[in-house]
Amino acid sequence: MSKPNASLKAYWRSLDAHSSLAQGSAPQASHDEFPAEAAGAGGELTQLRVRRRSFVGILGASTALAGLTTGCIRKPVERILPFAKRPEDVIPGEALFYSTGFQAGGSVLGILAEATDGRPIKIEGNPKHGASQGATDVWAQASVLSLYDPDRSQFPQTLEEGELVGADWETARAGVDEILGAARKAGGKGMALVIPWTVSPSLRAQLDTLKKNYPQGRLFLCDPMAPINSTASVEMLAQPGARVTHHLSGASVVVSIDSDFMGAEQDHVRLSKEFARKRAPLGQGDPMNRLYVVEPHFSSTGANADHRLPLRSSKIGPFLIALAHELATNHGVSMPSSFEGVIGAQELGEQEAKWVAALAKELIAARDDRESHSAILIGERQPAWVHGLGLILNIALGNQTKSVHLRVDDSAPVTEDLKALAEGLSSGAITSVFCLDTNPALVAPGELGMVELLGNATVVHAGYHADETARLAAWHLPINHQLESWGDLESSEGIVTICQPLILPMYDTKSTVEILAWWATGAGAPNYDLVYSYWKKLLGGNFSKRRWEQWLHDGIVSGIPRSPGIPLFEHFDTLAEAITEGTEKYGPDTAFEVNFHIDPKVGDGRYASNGWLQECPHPMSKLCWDNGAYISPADAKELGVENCDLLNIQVGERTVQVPVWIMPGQARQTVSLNIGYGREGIGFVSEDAGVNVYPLQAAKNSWFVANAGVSKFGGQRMIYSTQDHGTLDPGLGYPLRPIVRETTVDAEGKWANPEFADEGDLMKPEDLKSLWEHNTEPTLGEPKLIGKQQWGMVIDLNRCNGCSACVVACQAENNIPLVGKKDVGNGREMHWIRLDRYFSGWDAESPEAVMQPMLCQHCETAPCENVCPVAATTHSPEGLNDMAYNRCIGTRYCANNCPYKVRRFNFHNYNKRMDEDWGQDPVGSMVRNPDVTVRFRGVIEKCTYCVQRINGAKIAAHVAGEDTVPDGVIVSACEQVCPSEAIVFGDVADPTSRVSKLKATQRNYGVLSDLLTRPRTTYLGRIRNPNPELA
Amino acid sequence: MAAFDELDPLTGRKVLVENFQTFHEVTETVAAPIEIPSGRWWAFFLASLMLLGLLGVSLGWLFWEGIGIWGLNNPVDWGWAIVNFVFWVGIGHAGTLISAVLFLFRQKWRTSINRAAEAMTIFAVICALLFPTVHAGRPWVLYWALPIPNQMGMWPNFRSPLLWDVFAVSTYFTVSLMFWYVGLIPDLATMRDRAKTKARRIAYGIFSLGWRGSTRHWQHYEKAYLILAGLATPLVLSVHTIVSFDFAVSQLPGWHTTIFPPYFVAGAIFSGFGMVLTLMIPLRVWFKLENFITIKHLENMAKIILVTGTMVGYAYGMEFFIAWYSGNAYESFAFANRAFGDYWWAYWTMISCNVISPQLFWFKAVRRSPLALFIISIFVNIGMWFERFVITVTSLHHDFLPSSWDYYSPTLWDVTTLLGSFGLFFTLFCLFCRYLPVIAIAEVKSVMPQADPHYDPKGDHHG
Repeated sequence: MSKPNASLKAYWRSLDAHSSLAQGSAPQASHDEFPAEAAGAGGELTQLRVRRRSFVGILGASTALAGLTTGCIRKPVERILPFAKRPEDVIPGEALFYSTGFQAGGSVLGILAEATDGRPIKIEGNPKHGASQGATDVWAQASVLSLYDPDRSQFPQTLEEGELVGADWETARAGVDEILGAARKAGGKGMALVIPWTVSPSLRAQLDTLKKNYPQGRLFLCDPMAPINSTASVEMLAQPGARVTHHLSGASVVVSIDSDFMGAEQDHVRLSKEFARKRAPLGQGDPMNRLYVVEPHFSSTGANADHRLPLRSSKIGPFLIALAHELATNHGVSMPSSFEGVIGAQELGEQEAKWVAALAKELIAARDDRESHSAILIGERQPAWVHGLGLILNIALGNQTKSVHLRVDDSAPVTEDLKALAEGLSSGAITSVFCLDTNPALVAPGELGMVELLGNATVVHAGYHADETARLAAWHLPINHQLESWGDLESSEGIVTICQPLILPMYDTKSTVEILAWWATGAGAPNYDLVYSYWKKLLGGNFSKRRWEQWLHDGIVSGIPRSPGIPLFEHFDTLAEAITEGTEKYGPDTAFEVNFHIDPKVGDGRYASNGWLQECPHPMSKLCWDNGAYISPADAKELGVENCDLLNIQVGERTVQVPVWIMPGQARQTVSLNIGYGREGIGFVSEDAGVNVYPLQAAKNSWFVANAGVSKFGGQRMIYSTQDHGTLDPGLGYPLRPIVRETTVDAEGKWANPEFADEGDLMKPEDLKSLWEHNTEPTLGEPKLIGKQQWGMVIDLNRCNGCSACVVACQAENNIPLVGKKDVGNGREMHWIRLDRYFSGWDAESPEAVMQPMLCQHCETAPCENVCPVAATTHSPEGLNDMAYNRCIGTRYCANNCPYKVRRFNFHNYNKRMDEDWGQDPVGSMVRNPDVTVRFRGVIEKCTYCVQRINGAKIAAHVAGEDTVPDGVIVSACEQVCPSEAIVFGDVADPTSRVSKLKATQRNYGVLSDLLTRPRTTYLGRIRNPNPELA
Repeated sequence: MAAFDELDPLTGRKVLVENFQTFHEVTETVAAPIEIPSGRWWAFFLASLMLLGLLGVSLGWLFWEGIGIWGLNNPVDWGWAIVNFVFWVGIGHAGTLISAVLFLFRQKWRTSINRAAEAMTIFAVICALLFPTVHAGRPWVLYWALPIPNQMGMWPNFRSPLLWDVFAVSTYFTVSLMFWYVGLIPDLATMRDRAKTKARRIAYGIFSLGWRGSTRHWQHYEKAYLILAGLATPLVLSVHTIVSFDFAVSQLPGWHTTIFPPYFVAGAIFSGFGMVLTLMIPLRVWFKLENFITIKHLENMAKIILVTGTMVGYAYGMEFFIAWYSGNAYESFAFANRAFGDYWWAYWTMISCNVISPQLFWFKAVRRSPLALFIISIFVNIGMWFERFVITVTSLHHDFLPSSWDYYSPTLWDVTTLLGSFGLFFTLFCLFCRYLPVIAIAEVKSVMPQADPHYDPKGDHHG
């Protein structure tokens, strides 16, 4: 028996774990009998909701028990209704896919929405669409649940005595027309229209009409998820409407300057895909790109970096200037002449200086290499001048038309920012505010005091929820979900998709384009006509019904006139001024800096009432249902705070108390806060979910504020992470288990340890002896794997970036219930696939991180199967570890015996609770996939490899007369959604299948395979590509 | 209490019934609590009944709402319910050991304690059976775990230790019940004959199966008793062995150990005798049974506790040794985590109660002091509950993948269910004390000097 490899990299889950590993110490005071966390959790744990009715229920159940009657629990009686008259061309139960589009901030995805019996139930990426290429993100995945959000606004409402009361469209129309009429009479004077980032051509056409009819009306942009700063930079350099997009498919060196391009930035799906494709060496010598990340907060992009530098946001601009200076002075890169005196040496720390030198060398090497180039990505959180400088550097390094594409979007609306809106409101220049699918009362930086200002104006709000702005509005108009509307969306690269509705509006709502057309012209038109006639008019004689249908079918609009314009850079002096101005503005870097981030789950708050997103663990902190104040371990020590302690954060006069979450890798003296939480009054789901941090934002640069006051507030707010519950101190000589395996690659493509994937197991594979190997006949203990096709999966740890799209996709596909914050705190989350996040490296201030998707491994000798007393979980002939929910009696022995802990137990009747308690409205159950059983309380469930998809494909193959399903036809939900193509599912019995080929590579290994579980899911070990100069 | 042990005039050994009782006095003493109601009994009975009511409410809420009312979570899928199950099964060990094994070994001192100990066994096994039943997620289909022929040809999974449990515990329960009942028959007949009300006469009459005490009856009775003792003896070893398989057959570090069967059996005997002491010490005073359950009896039981307590102590040590000796560092961690991890307090409670406190029994004065014995027996009960807690929870909460590690704490409903099971146990035990002779009258008489044909009350014996 070999000993665990002492040279293994040390992985740790949390700081508590890490500190004791580092000190090698025995457990300390944290081992109280009931630690504070546990006691706090216990308080919640034991909290019992015995209401009058449930008390009678208990009474009844006890009586039944006393009477020794059996069967006192019955499954609920639910009546179903058949299609009495089948709609034409619809086969009941058969899923139909329709192409449509999805927009979140600046990102547009082409999607295929799946509908069964008229209900949209699942979103997939449109493989033909360049921005999604078949994949999607968490937001698109979860959007289908929002459609059935029982708390969405269902009818027009008006403000009466401070309360919103229901109205019908006729009165609403009359009311709003009155306001519109007055504005029109004044030529639009005093009128403001607040719009989100608008990339819909038909909506833009309506904006133009509006501009014509209200010549003095003003247009404001209110969208924290929009690429405002990157757009501003290129517009500043060239012309209005100039746009920049990035491409990583050829870049060998990627430098992310505070850009979470795998998470929240524009086009993150496409960028993840392009990045991952350059990062999947199958063997030694295969090329790999290199990623540098400079950021204040550990993002999932940072977790994928080869080198990561934690740096305060305000130092990131100067860092880039230093890089430009280094390139110009030491490497002869020519800079615009107006930069003279602007780009100079910067005061940098030792580490940063080292980075600048190494980066410059690397960028030059990439420029000089014929076959490759580099890419510098600037995060939206950085001000426009940093973007501008990044753009100049990219162009100077010859990346234009390679990793940087420029275009002119000449129909882009010209908008003003929220600061201008606030000024207009306070000066009285603006008297009526029309908010179209925007929520300025929530998302406007706190310094603007938007809520008070809007109170002075007449507000008309069209939105999905009766939200913070609606509550200030004279009229609130409910709008359609994306899946209920006709529309069109143009991606950042100019790919246009016609959005089709999959379902009639479920409530009395209207689409945004209908509402805007009404506001613009005073008259309404049907949703379809507005979109159809726009395109018909645009194409004129070239338009045909057939062409239109082709567009709808493909999800891509082809053959439309395009503006050929390429922006011409001429205003370098403006940028130079902006740089000078920008660098002066920052205060001293001794005080705390507060950073705001788009939340990877609830965005800017627009998805706050989506339970799937609330319960999806944050990619790095694994927090659910809450945001925390992320601070570095050293700062936490100085402040004397622990996780969940409230931190008082003060910016100017404004204070907010946020619970601490200690985050390794957070830059020193910075606090990172995720926006979008702490929403009030938009329904059950978002109630008490997190703290609203918008009030802290500053008017000018809303993404980070220097000189903030940060102190311990006293008291706690319990926030729960799915990975680090309380103080779990392994210590005690816990040996490093080779769960995650990685090595490094050098410049020649040689791996530091070519055998890394095979090392670290307790027993060598050849030493593992099966109990059954002496039996020639298969015994009870061995599954009979006689199926022609044998299913298996490979997950590439080099590609996985932790975006969590698979978690939500699995939830949508497999009817996985929500458990709520309290039960997440109890450790009962139900996700079938989870992303385990481990930190590594001994420096807690700047560790590395790795993500590992963990799902049922479908062990050939599954430990769970032996122990079930009723044989509810058994092996299929095709190697699946099947679970018969209906047979399960809920002993949970299988979960205990599963070494991967991927089995999930329905501790409560979560599905019923979701339907009833969570919305008092049965509409939520419409999102369920009819191909998958909805599990009752008391049964175990787990990943099935999407057995419904496997069987669907097998049936189709059998109907076609085939006895096998070709490779690639069956894709599991997690594989399908994955933007970085990290998951591959297929037939391991077929040596030519993708999955078999990957399993044959040197990087392949099984987790805990030294237990002889023979997992069918294996992993491709991670390879980091460090720069020797920085290593 | 005698200052020194009385000796049997015939054997020269210590008498088993003290103060020269006559056969009539024996019957009168034992039958008194059944025939004369006492206030103390009512107080105890009502208190137990209240706890039983608490069990009813807890289980009612459990069936209504689901397992989620307990503190279980994802890595720790077994908690107090399983701990309580193993705890009660363990307690259920002493009765059969005393009645069957000591019977076969001709340990005559067993006669004064075997009836109550067997009753304790049966009630403890009833409590034990409760827990696997209610801890299932869907208890209403628990019968699927029984091999009932059905039209689907769907059988339970015979490879699962839980299924072995079903057979082992139910067999043990059946045999124990039969053994107990067979032993009761002569005494039931005595009670029938003494009955002053019609209801009692009929009830005892039915259950005494027409016992008239003829020689033929005695001959058959003793044969049946011997056969049942022979049947019950292997069960003493098998039932807890199989309960230990629930853990040992899994592959979790801390569960997957070959030492479990003997270790569990020793622990079970240890806890069983602990509970017998807890019950007998007050009982002998309140029911005035000091002449039957003598200090010598208590001392004997203390010795068994000392032996088995030392055995479990050895097992605790051996677990650590083997974990280290295996060279499997994860195995070592599982044990180090028990002693020094998050649940160190549970581990050290267990060690203090199970290993350290019985060592006081090396001192004769402690062994012969009912008060000291009572206190230590309580410690043994607590310690053995914690042993099962340590095994079940600490192994689960830190298993293979550190990402899943979590902390488990019980809820109010975990506590009420445990308390409620004590209510069930004591309610049954109170009913037993009230309606059945707590001492095997017939058997005790057979070990008294008078039963010997050579006995001469005047001391003039014939050699």
